[in-house]
Amino acid sequence: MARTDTEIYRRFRGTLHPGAPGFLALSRAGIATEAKKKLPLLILYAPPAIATVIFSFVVYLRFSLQAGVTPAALGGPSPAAVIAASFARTLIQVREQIVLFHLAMSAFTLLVIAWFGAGLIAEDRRAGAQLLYFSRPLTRFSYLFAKFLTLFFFALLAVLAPGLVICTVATLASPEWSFLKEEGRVVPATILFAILWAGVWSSVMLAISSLSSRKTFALVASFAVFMITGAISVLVMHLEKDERFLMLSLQGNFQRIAGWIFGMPRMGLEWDVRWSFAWIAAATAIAWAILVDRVRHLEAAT
Amino acid sequence: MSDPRVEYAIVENPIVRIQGLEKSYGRVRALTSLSLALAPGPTGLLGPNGSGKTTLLKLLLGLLRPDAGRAEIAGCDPASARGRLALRRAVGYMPEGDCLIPGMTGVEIVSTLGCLTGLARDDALSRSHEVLDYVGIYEVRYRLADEYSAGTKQRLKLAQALVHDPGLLLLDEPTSGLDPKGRRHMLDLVHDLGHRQGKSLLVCSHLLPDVERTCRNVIVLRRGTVALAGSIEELTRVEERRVRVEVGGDREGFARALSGSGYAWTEEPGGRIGVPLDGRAQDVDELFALAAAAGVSLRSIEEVRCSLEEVFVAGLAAEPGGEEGR
Repeated sequence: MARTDTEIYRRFRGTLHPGAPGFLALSRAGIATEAKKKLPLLILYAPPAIATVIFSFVVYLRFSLQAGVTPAALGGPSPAAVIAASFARTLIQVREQIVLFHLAMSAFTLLVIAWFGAGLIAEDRRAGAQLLYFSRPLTRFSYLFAKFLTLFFFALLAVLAPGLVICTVATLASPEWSFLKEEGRVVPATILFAILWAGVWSSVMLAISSLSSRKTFALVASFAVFMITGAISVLVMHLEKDERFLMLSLQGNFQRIAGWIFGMPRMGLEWDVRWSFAWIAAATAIAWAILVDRVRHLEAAT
Repeated sequence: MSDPRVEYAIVENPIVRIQGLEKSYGRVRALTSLSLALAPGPTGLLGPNGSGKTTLLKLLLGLLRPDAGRAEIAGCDPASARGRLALRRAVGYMPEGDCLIPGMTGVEIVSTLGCLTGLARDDALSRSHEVLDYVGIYEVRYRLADEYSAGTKQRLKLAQALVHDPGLLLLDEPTSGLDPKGRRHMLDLVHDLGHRQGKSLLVCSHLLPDVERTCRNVIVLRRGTVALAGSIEELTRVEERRVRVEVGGDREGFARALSGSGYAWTEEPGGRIGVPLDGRAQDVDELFALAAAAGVSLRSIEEVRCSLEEVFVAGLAAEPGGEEGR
């Protein structure tokens, strides 16, 4: 007989909720599990956090100068202060700061996605977690969506939160809410770009993870995809002296799309933005086709 | 299918009913017109490698689609998407291989899987502690499951299968990789679930003693079809009723008395005497009378049954091409 003299089997007295979306429970558990690793969180989010402070300060400075709050060196209302305010207004645009943030931080934010995404499916397969997941009322799509939401959360934290902080600083620092009145479209543009960026890269990273048997392999593969395509496109662009070769990499296309979304023709990339959208749509579609196929195999192998 | 031991379709209120199930992987036929009905209670699923046990479990969970036939598990149809989700709420599955969710503690794994099955978060957490207590995972439940011993991992797998309190448990090699102590504990738990807690079990195992100890019924698969099925008690009962007698005193005198009364007795290991009982209503009493007449005492009388292993081998060898000797 079972040694259950103190530990008896107890029947479950509650109720099962058949309609409960499994992907929410799984993504919540995934986020909680990844968030337990404090050191990677600190190291990976420190550069974007520091950059957010710097870019926010620049934006604050711009609106302060514009409002006539000048550094002591400029000596209060004076021709120099007026010139400084004019320069600040012309040279420092919030939308440019946000785009600059994305360009400057792209390597770090990609690192965030690679780190948190590399093991999401690869480690499940290595540990045999699919045996446990797919014996539950969890569909393949729910599983994929849960993994996507987990990675999407960490990616958004790296790209959307800094953009929103910069916009908030701009809103509060601008005199009479002038930022919202004059450049209000920067806020939805920031959200749209962050969602697009995080969504596409998360999809690509998950596909790489699904093709790998270990997190380490997925990390190496992701660096190959991210860095090598970026490096090749820049190299060919310089060799051929044609900026359109930047289209070869996802980063180049995102640069073009950022210029279009934020309305910045000065970005210098003049090819038709529809090509860039087509390129990232194709990359996302390929990534999801791989994911669906790999997870189908994962379920059948259970 | 004329052998009544093989015919196993007439079961009252079956928890699993399979009709003409077929499944092939390319040219390899894993299941061939498999029909069976699983009675509530603990049932062992036996068969040599490649006999279709794992395929059957996958089909029962709705992880594979059959080429033909239909199945009904706990009243759900695994062929439909809705039925698959419903049956996975009604069934608990303990996989054979190593499996855990990376980066989680034991209690997190069980509660997460509880949430996935439809338990509310608070319910899932309290229920996780209950089932972990039951399987004997205590403080270690707060450590990462990657660090668990093989025995603890195995009990964790049982705990996650129990978290939503399913009526039917599919246990795939529950004692795989366990040391003797761990194996005994696991068998105790499986026995308790099947015999005291009223769970229906389908225990897939290569170890016949495990099945013999924990199950009432057994299904033997051979080349994707049912070779033998029935209750273990029925299957292990020998056709000729025999008893094994241990005699205290003049053994030869008792043997002569048996011969004199027309019993065709035989020598048995351990100095015991095998006595065929020919159906006389009082034959055991008659043995006592003979012993008294011969001036000996009967220390023990036990009914001779064949082992499940003998039944298993006989079942596999029953048809041409049977895997004799396995």
